Amino acid sequence: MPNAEPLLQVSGLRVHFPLQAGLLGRHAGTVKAVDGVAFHIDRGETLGLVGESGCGKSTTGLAMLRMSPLTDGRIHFDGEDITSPDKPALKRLRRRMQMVYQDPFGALNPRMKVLDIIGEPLRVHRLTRGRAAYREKVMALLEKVGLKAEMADRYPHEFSGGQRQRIGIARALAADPELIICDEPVSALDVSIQAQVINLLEDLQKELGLTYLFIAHDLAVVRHLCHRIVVMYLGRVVEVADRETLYDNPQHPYTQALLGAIPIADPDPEVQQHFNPSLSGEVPSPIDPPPGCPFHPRCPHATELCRREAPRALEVEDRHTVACHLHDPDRAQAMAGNL
Amino acid sequence: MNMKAHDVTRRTLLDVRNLHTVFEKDGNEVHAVNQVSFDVKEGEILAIVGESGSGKSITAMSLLRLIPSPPGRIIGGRVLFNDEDLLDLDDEQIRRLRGRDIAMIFQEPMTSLNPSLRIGRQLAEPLLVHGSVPKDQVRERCLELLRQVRLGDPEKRLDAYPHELSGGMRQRVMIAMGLACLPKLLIADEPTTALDVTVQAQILELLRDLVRANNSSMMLITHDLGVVARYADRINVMYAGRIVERGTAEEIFHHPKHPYTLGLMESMPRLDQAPGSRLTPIPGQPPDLSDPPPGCPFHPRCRFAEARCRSERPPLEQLTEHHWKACWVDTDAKR
Amino acid sequence: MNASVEPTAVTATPARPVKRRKSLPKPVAFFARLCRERPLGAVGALICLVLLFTGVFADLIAPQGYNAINPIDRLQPPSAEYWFGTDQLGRDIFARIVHGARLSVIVAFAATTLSIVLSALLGIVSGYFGGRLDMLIQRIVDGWMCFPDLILLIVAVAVLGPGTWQIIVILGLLFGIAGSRIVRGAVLSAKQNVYVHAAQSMGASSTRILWHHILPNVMAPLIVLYTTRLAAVILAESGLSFLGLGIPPPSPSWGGMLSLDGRSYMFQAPWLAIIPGIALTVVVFGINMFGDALRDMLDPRMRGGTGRYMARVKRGTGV
Repeated sequence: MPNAEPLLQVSGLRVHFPLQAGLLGRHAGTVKAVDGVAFHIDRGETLGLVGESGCGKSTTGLAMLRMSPLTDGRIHFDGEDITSPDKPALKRLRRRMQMVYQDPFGALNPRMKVLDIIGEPLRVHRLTRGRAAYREKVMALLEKVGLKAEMADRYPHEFSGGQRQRIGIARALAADPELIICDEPVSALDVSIQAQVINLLEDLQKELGLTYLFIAHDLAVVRHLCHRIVVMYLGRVVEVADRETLYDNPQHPYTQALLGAIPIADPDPEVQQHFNPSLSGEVPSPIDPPPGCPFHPRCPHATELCRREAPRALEVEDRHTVACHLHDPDRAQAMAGNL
Repeated sequence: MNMKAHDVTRRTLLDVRNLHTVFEKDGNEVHAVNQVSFDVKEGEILAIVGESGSGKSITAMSLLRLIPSPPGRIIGGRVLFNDEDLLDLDDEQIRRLRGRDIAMIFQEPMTSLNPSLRIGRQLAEPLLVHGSVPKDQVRERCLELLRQVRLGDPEKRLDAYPHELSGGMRQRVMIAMGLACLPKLLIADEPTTALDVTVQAQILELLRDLVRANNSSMMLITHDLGVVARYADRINVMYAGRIVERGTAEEIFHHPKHPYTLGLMESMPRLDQAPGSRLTPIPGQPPDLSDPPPGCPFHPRCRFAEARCRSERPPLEQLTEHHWKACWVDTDAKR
Repeated sequence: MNASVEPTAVTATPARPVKRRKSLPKPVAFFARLCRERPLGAVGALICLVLLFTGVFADLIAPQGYNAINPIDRLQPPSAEYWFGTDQLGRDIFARIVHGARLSVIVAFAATTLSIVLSALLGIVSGYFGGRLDMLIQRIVDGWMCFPDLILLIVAVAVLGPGTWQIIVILGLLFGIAGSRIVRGAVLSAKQNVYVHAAQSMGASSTRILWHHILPNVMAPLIVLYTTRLAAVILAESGLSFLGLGIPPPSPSWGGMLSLDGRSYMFQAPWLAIIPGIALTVVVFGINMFGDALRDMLDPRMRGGTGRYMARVKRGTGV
């Protein structure tokens, strides 16, 4: 497995949106939603993509699906360059990569029966022949996600949020994809239902050998489900690590602040000591971000170098990458030399 | 830090008895808040925890009589505040109370603020309405409030419009508005759910500090157990419009008794547990409140359910001074 | 199979049980609802039905036709024999009104249908595909809408000449281009739906998305647009005829009857003007009322809720 080629490989990804203002649509700035992102996902693993608003995680997810234009960078899926696919390649890609959405209420067309919602990928890619086979396949998918087959003839409004999310997952599975991009799939669900859907995603991965890109902001959920995690801030990757490493030994100041800010469900004062809401300031806007490290305005360890130059992403230990001058041995020397 | 001493001798600020609020839905009556009783003591932070459909927000709105009247109505109960039943007051009286004695802040800072009015104008409103500050000192007081909520550059913010501020900043303004007249009770309905986690942490710490500084009480409504664990002195757990368990934070988290509370604890991914361990979800869905199941509302999803649970609804029974539960089963024995 | 399929997790009864009743056929049930909720709209619908009926069975109701000249009985006031009186040529005004209804019906429905098809095409292409095409179409529409309707109509008639089909085409074109704006708005808003995004991301073709996901969302505004256009077309045609630019006499266009005959004999035989005037008023009123009621009844249901908070309260899922 370690030597196998990754299923998805992203390098140098940039997605910039120009802002236009005024009567003549003058260029008023650039939203640098994604500004230099690189990562890979191995087959069968779940990669978490976390960060707060403005970090670019959703845009990255959309870029993977090729639903958002790239300003720069390359994306490889199963060895094939999909940065600018032609129409047939794009259609093939759309079979192998699917998305599960955050909003269980908006993601399903209220005028379509569940049968047709789940079966749409089958129709689009002509995967079944005849009504009987179509229906059978949809029923099988319903059962796979833990719903009763007879629900196929009902409409979305008859179901609860958790059930609708299951329908969305069934739809994503219909075309037998290899990669599923989950964009905050449990954020809009009640806590007790979240666990049902999380378990379902886990089981499906084991059973079908799926690979997930799991975009979320809830670090507890991410820790539960993901094997490796990418932490993003203001369009850039600040840290990548295995699950255990990230939560036990975060290196980037932002990751540390992020983990410290999560409320812990135990009132014991000793446990509460780990809660550290030290990070001040607001999450910045991706419009015309400042030069240097994206985090420097809020970083307690910021130096002159951090304000000037963006740090490189370096591997500080096996499978653990950090983009911070403090962990860059060359820079550290330079910084020390400047004192 | 939670205050460990839940002194019974502390004065009761708010005493809610058998509150019952219903809504008309397609000809059916939905019992959104069903015979709910609890109290809030002076200087404490009480959390009301529940998921959607539990009735926690409607409870809060009922206290201040903010229920839209059709389709909802409060059909029973008493809400005693300063020895007055709020449900008995006329419109004028309750309006005077809102914002001055009891204030409420909401989840959506984007829609709670009027987008066409400047911040200063909106912030001044409670002060002007309740006449607690002479007109010439209003601006100064507004600046002071903004400083209290740790909003940088207050002069600039007063003249700004809501869309010029971020979500966290808007919520700070909401808090400033809520605390402007130094109310004895602040009701915060999911105040940080729409905010990023680092901002959420700042806002919650701020809320807690301000409430303690004013010696006010806070009713914190949320679904986030982590938030509750850190800030709440006492907790009400609500399900299907009723309180199913009530107790101190220590009791609820370390000795939960009601199967729903247990279920919530077990179904959450926790940072302080081993990663990748399997979650135990609560099976099923929350009930349809227009046609609730007989007996205990939780029984269809309860792994401890017995025959009695299906036919008789358990009342709240007291276990310790502050710990109550509404359940027929001794879950400790069965676990 | 899956451990996540807890037996009780799969409830046969979903969160909101659907009460299934024996339902009446759709149009009947719809009309019943209309009477209950929007009685004025029901009246309007009735008027439209009467108009339609009259138009279709004009020959049966007034077999003598609209041009039965009878100079002996000229300018008779309304009586038992001539319900609406007679005009200056002795023609039965009732018969002329009835055949005028047929004319209105033909012109109105044909022109409106043409306009809706045009609006839909332009609006959908412009709204869904966006980009340069959208900009081009919108600039043309902008330019077109700068001209007052009447000027365009007059110029068009001058170019094409009067006559039933010419009027239909002109009115269809005029209202079609203007209405594309509304359709484009509906398409843009429908495009925002997450399920459209989902369909795109699974590789569905534009045709498929337009047909299954966009069009159903556009149907409601289109239906409402149809009824408002209908009234507008009737008025426009009457206006043209009034100005002498419409369908030429002896055709019993109500607007023509108002202007050509009504005006000349206004003091001698006021019923020549009043009757067609009332007919026009009643019909336009009826269509407008029905259209309003239709919009009210279709709108909130189509959008699925009156807003986040109230929708949640109404669902009873609590806040």
